[in-house]
Amino acid sequence: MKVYDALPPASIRAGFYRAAGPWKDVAVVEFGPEGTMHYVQSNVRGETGHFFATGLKEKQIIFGDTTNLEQAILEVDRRLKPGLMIVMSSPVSEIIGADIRAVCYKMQPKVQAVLAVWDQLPVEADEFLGKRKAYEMAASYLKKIASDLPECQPKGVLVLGLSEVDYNGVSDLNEIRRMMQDYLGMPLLNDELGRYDLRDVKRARWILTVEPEAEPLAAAAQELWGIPWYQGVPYGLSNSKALMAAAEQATGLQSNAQWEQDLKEAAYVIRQFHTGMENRRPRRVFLDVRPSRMAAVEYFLTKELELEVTRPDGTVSAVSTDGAVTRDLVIAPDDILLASGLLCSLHRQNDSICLEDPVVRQKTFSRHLPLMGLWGAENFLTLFYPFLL
Amino acid sequence: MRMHLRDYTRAIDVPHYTCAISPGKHCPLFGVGIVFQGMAGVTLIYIGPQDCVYYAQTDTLLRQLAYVRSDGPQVRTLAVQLSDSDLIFGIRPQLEKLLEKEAQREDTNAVFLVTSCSVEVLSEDLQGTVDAVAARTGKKIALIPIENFKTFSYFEGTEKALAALTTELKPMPRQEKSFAVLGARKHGADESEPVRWLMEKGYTLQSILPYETNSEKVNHLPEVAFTLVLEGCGLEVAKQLERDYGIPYVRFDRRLDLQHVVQAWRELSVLVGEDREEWIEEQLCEVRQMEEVVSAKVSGTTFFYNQTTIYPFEACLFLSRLGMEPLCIFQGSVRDKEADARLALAERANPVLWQNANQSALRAMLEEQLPDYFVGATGGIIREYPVLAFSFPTGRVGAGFEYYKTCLRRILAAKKMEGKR
Repeated sequence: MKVYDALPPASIRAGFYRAAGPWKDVAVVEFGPEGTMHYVQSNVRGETGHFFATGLKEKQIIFGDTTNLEQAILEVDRRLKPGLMIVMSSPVSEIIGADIRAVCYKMQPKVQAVLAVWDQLPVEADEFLGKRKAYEMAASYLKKIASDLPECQPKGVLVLGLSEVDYNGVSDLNEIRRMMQDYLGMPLLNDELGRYDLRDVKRARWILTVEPEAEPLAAAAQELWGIPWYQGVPYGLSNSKALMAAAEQATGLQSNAQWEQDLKEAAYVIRQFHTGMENRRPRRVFLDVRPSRMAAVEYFLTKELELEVTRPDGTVSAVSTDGAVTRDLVIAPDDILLASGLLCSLHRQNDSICLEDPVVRQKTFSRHLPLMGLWGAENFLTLFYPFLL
Repeated sequence: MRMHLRDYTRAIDVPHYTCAISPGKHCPLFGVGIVFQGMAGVTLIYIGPQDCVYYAQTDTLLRQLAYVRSDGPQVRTLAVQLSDSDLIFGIRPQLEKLLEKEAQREDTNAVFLVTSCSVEVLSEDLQGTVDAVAARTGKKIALIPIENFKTFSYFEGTEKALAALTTELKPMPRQEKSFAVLGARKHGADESEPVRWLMEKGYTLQSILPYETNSEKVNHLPEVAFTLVLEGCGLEVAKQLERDYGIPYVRFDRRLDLQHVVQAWRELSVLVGEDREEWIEEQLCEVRQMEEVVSAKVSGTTFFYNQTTIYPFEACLFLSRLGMEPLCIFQGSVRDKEADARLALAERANPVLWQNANQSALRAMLEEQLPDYFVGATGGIIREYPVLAFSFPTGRVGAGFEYYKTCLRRILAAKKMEGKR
């Protein structure tokens, strides 16, 4: 057992649901109690009306009855008409050994949706494996239906892993949308909340995966239709430049003069920041964001803003039997926190900028204050100024 | 398969409209978390698979940050995440070690172990473990078994947690002019009709359980002269305090049954030693006049009921007595504590019953038969149908004639929905 006195890591299922949140033509049915699904839907920001539980009750546990699951599959197929329906186990159905695979085998001829099963999940695994699994299942689905999809002309950019599910995700997505549109004249295929149909992956001219876990889906698109893709997290100027360069190379398009002008402007703002920081007391930034974003944010802070950055250390809990890690963080009173809302709130005495998962007390960012991309870099400075100058 | 009121057996047997439930009800682990906010000196341990402990712990931490009014010490919460080997070989030795360690902490007075579905399915003897450690350490250690698959709603988690919290309290000398409010989950109890009156009479409100309390106040509960039950989740604790410490209780939780409102006021008058008959008669007179006005407007109309945290059958009987006919009742998260309202309602009508109102259930029922009124939250798809809608207050805790009259006013103030369909 692992013992956590602060926040334990999100589960593999939580990661799966976060990845599947923006998929408009997918439904997920979990063979489990309804309370867990209520928690999931509270936890995943944005649209979750395509996630269902069967409301597992004692009768199903004692007698191994799967009638409810079968009925739920029929109902969701009839009501939502999803292209892909993923049927998942829950921790309880795993323990009783419910044979979900057999149920889906039996139900597939009765439904329009492609049924996919995810069971025998590891008891302990982190959310990033869950995200990856979701994208793998999406990739398998595309491979399965590829021959049925109509021919189409590549149209725009598809962004994977950035949507309303993420705190500030819509703002960041819109900044990428602006950059693609303003500098390259390419539209985004994602809707205003970042959502998209898996079937529309084929229409992409280029794919940007902001989360590395989305790689299987991007790779499948490349394999099936030759769509080029790039993995990057565009925090700061260097990462934004890398993003634009990748887009140019993949599409053969040339960015316009506006890009150069805006880039110069952003660089000037950063130089002003350095000037402002001269002879000021340096302050350290305590950075604790998800692993896939850590490197990009850290690079921006250390190399471009020249701030000192520290990261958390894990320590082994005294009562753990198998090496559990708890958050025993050494945060100095003067550190500026750049972290999740929960961590910022647990250290209220510190100056902080919430970068992920705000709590209720914190002011939420607008949908128009990106932290990624060119304008995001400038917004970062606006947030830092009051603490540093 | 449909169930009508006259076929009712148990709340948990009422069917869901769909087998695909979205979003469904809260987990009882959520109900436990509500109780322990602000409980310094207490260690709360959630034990279960990664999903359950992550969500429960997140919710508890966020609740501490967002809702607790004091910046003082908080409940210490631990998430114990089980591994494969724990599920196969058991957890007793490690758990005993953990419980002992927590019990021995200098600032810990009590430890509560909260289980989850998977742990309960495995049937490990956790009660034995808890009892053994409690005996060794001399600290209060209690088990709160949680099985979502067996429970009707998260209120059962709240009730179990309240029961665990208030057992084994030390008897104390009675403070004659103090009382506690039980069952209030939200703000407003201190401004409710009976509490205001008691405070005007010089009584002290000792605590509001679970909304505003702390370990110290819980330990001193046996001091109070009496308790007021304002919502159903406080009833079992009230009974327990009466049984264990002889503390009488008055039920103001049956808020939409006028007879019970009157009875509660009479019982409270006796406890305080002040005759309130004249005032009660005045209130009754006013209420009856209002009922006549409301009845003239709504008599002969039909309604769907979907209030999630008010006794459903009592509320529907209240409306039925005003001349309205229930067509469909979505139970929500609270069940009536007694059968009388249900049986009385069944003599007057036989509406269809559903477990709760997810969007598809609501839409299907509205398409099937459009009522004149919709009682409940008016967001979402209800706006698409040309019905009159109102809801009884659930945001603030209310009680007595005041609450009853507010509900009558709400009916009169029903709003016509846009009804695009």
